[in-house]
Amino acid sequence: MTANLSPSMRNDKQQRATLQIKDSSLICGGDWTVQQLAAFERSLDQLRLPTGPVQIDLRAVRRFDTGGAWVLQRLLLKLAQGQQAVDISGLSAEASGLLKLVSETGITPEKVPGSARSGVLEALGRSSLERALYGIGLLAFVGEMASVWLGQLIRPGRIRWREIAHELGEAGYKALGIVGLLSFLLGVVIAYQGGGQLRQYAASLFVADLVGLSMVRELAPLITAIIIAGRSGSAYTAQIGTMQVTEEVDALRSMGIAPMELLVLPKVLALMIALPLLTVYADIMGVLGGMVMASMQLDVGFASYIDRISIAVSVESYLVGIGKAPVFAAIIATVGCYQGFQVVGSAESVGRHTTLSVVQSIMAVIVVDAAFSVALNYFGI
Amino acid sequence: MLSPDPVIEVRDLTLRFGRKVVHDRLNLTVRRGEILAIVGGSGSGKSTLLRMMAMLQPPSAGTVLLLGDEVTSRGLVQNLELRRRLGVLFQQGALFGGMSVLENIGVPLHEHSGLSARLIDEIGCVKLELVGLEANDGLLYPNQLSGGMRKRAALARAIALDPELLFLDEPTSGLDPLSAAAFDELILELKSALDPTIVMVTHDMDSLWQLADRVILLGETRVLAEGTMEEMADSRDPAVMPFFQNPRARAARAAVERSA
Ligand SMILES: Nc1ncnc2c1ncn2[C@@H]1O[C@H](COP(=O)(O)OP(=O)(O)OP(=O)(O)O)[C@@H](O)[C@H]1O
Ligand SMILES: [Mg+2]
Repeated sequence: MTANLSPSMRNDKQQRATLQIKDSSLICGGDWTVQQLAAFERSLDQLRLPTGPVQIDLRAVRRFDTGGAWVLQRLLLKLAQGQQAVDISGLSAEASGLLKLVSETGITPEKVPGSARSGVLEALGRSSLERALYGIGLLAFVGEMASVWLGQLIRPGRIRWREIAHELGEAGYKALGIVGLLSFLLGVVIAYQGGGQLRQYAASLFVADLVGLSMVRELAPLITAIIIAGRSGSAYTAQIGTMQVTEEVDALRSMGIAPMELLVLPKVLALMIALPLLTVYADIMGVLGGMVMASMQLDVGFASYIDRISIAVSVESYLVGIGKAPVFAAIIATVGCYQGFQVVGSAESVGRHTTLSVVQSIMAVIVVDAAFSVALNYFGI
Repeated sequence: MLSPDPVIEVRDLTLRFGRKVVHDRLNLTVRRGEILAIVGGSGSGKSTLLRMMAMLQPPSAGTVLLLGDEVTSRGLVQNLELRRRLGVLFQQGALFGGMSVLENIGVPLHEHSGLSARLIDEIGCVKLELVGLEANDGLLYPNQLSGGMRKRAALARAIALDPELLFLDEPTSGLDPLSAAAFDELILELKSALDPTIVMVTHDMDSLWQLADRVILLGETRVLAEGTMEEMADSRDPAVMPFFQNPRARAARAAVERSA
């Protein structure tokens, strides 16, 4: 639909658009199409237009599209502002049709809405407000969740066992492989790195203390939580976020089903069950990893290693490690679901909130873990 | 103004999904400057035919000659060159959700023109006005638009590069009758102003009467009939009659004849 060309010209080489000023006339040539206008477009604003009456000569223009028509219209508007008489020659019928079309839209450069670019202070204010609102929103979300939960405790018939079982399978059972592998390797690494030092003091057997305590009390709960935040927390955000975009969440509401009840609580409950179990599993795999390494590198036999573990790791430490897991689970599931509900509109928003969900839940897990350490130390456990 | 000069030639086109045959050695021609409508029952393969003509889906066998070039065997770069001359209005609009309407229209312009952002915004506003939206609507995001506005915005993006060939997939579906009529009007206006060849899929009898120079009826994996709307409506062919001889079709015809 590029005007003024015969079919045979469509496929031949394109030419750059040109605009020259000679005395009082503007001489245009080449292809005045969006692909070719870039040649002079950027210098358009600095162009020193002649004063007085102007002739615009378009005879050398081969092609013309709406982009070209707009650039011409822009020139005409500028000349009209200076009240200069304009004489256009060489405008083909199609081209003049396009020019008419563009001028009838009534667009002027001033009418183009500027993308509001805000100052530093405004941006700072906005982002602070956004964060504050985010915090308040999260609190409200937790409150709503708690109230729905309490309602379910009073009427246990409303608990969605099927969804919980499904989520348990997704977040728990299917994560066994990766959690097992990573904690086994972690045990191997700790034993390997620590074993060398211990051997120098002829204290090889204490590798069991090293691996046992660090894994059971700190590392197993933490690594499991981080894996699950990346694996399930992100999935929760993506799932709820996509449902939000496709109005499926609204569809649920319209059917009288509370999204909180169907989508959020089963996930939170399931993860609070799954994460402690996974942590126990990670404990075992980590200790196993250490055991294999100890026997290979330090000649500590399996039997003596296990004997030592049972002395080194108190039931207390074990319970502290596992006790943290449900808290981590609650954080991961809550942040994941909340971020899902924050999604508005588009696929891009789903991606952004999924990233946020993972980053925030991992951060929160580590901060809470540190808080646990300090608090437990204070109480001397 | 019809010229015999073909813009698209579909030759012996076959499309299979697994064992299911959607098109079986289908032939059709789109002439330069016409508005060709593709109609047919649900699942008759209208959308897939449109997608193949727009190079979005490779056929199982057969060729498509698009603007004189055979597209089935071409490399990607050349295809990009060719794709630039097409515009597609997707059924759901397919506007990029993370961008404002104006930015959406700017995407193909930024990609292919090298013009300054300022001028691209200005051209975007011209296109917005052309499709009956206002320059200020350009700042809205797709999820802030109504269904009709979304269609218009998507059309503005489809015509961003002044395509020679415009594909419309159910342009008026999901619109209320008034908006649908206005959209038909808009397509006619754009047609007379920019003169693209238009291939559209539609179920809307009113738009068929309003817009279509020629109609192709798909069914049973092939072209069942083709002709002008009058020819189709007067056809005694038992394969064609159910589609054009029903209360809705007759009402649409009556409306056209009344206004004529
Ligand atoms: N990607 C795909 N895989 C398998 N089958 C497909 C695929 N895409 C389309 N089909 C099948 O091809 C047939 C034609 O689909 P198409 O979307 O073209 O129908 P249509 O004529 O546009 O129908 P409608 O009017 O309902 O939009 C259908 O039977 C559909 O099931
Ligand atoms: Mg379809």
